[in-house]
Amino acid sequence: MAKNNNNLVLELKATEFRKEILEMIVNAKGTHIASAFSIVDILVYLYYKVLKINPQYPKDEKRDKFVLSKGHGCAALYVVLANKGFFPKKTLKTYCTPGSILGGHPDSTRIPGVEASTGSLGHGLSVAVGFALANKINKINSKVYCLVGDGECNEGAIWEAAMVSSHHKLDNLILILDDNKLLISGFAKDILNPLSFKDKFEAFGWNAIEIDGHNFSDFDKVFETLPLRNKKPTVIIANTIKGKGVDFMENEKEWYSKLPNNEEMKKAQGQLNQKIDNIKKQLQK
Amino acid sequence: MRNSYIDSIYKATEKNQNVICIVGDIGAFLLRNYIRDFPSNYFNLGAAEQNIVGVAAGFAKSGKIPFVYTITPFITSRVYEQIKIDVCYNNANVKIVGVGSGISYGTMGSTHHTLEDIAIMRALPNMIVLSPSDPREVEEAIIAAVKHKGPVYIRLMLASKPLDYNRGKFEIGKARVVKDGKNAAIIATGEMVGVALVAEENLRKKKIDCYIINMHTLKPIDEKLLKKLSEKCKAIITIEEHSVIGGMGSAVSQVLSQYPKNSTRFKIIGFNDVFCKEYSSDKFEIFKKYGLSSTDLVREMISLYKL
Repeated sequence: MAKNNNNLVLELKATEFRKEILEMIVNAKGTHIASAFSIVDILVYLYYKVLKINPQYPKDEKRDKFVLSKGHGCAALYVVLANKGFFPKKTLKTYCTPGSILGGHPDSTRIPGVEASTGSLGHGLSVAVGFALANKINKINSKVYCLVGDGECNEGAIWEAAMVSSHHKLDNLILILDDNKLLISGFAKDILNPLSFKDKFEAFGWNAIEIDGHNFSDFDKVFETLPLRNKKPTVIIANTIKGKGVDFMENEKEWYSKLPNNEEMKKAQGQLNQKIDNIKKQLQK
Repeated sequence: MRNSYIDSIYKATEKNQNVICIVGDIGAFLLRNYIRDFPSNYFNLGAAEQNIVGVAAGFAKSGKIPFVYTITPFITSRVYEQIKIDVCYNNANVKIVGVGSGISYGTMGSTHHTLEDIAIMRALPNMIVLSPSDPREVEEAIIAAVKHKGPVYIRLMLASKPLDYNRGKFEIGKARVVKDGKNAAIIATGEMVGVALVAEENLRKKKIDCYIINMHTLKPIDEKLLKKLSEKCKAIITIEEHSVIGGMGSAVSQVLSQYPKNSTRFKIIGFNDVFCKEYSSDKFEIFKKYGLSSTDLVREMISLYKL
């Protein structure tokens, strides 16, 4: 019961964060709402339940590290980092405006809590491998988490990094694959079919497991048992829905870059508000 | 230069255990003592250079000082975006070391040449570009790169001859005046410093007293010296084992053309926007075909000086 309640609290956060993300992006006339919505639950789970980090000491060398390799989802990361206290929440209001540290892709040299600047696909996993190797030789026991998108796995560099990770037995590296199956111009299966990510990663020497990327109970089952096996890197293939949380944005390719008009915005906010109210009621019970 | 790098990285690691030696599956034989003595500092990450550069950035952001070493085209143009983002944009303390630059792999053709690396590396914010002239200067460059906090690109040739000139302290951004002159200057980098020294002797016989400048740092370039030379010299020639587009000549020209007191005549010698299509195990044979020999340099200086 306690666990369910905890997960309900996470669900509330994730829904509130979706609303913050939506409003932040729309105010700035930004983009990538659907890509951010796809990963909100994963980020909430990591930052509120998994990562050993202290926003007061963002450079502590023993911290767990998280690399958002699909940098275009960064609006979700910014909202999570601000709510965790890495920087003031009022900074979110400056998103994508002159003088802000928060742009359309994350800049590690300026944003507290961002471990690597990303935005061009296929870079972050290699940097995460560097973190994991450095932890091994420094005998630091922390873990390194990296989130890539399924479209990002079109990049060959991902598979270079995958080979090196298993060769060097990086059981301190956890990759989360945001598998929303939707690329910019359509479904992955129609553009560049990845076939089975699970088979691919296993063939590259990884532990691979599939979960529902929006279900915190599923997360609990996996994260409590990490790494799945010693001396191997782990990939968690999270089946997600692009645009998750607002029904007319879900699984629709145009929401990769589209901004809602006034009517759509009200509708989206209404749906999120309603979900927030429902969760609050459940929590009161 | 290759052997000097191997010795230098060994000494650097001996002094500072944070130095990490990453290779893209080359140099295992030459590095055998390094591998024996510093096994946990050595990583052969295979011929997967995009990943190597990202991993190096991860190491650097974990407090290490990674030196990434492989054949120049594969660690520059092939991985340019990784260098731009993972290294330079992150301002990660990564040292990119390209071996066999220019046309050093003289029999192997354009896949193994780099006549564009200076141009592309110069264009990246935060990047320092070093181009040593001989084995001893390689060691000096490596020591300087370890001390410098931030990205450094080091352009190495293969088996270069030691040069005999007065050195003084090696300082990033401060060119070496290898020989004082009066009213002309040859600015050279890498193995072209040796070519310039041969040309200088011949030019002296023709009563042209040239400064010989070893521009071992191509970025930041020594503006102070260039401005001084542009006021003193009737003619300045740059010579480099690189395209005439975007290399040292362009960097020098960028300074001179924006300096109001500049009164010099100026010429850039290099590969003239072409792929090198000649093969030889002796690169100096190839230089003759492309106008980069000491004889070409003498002729060009006389022509410019006496214009």
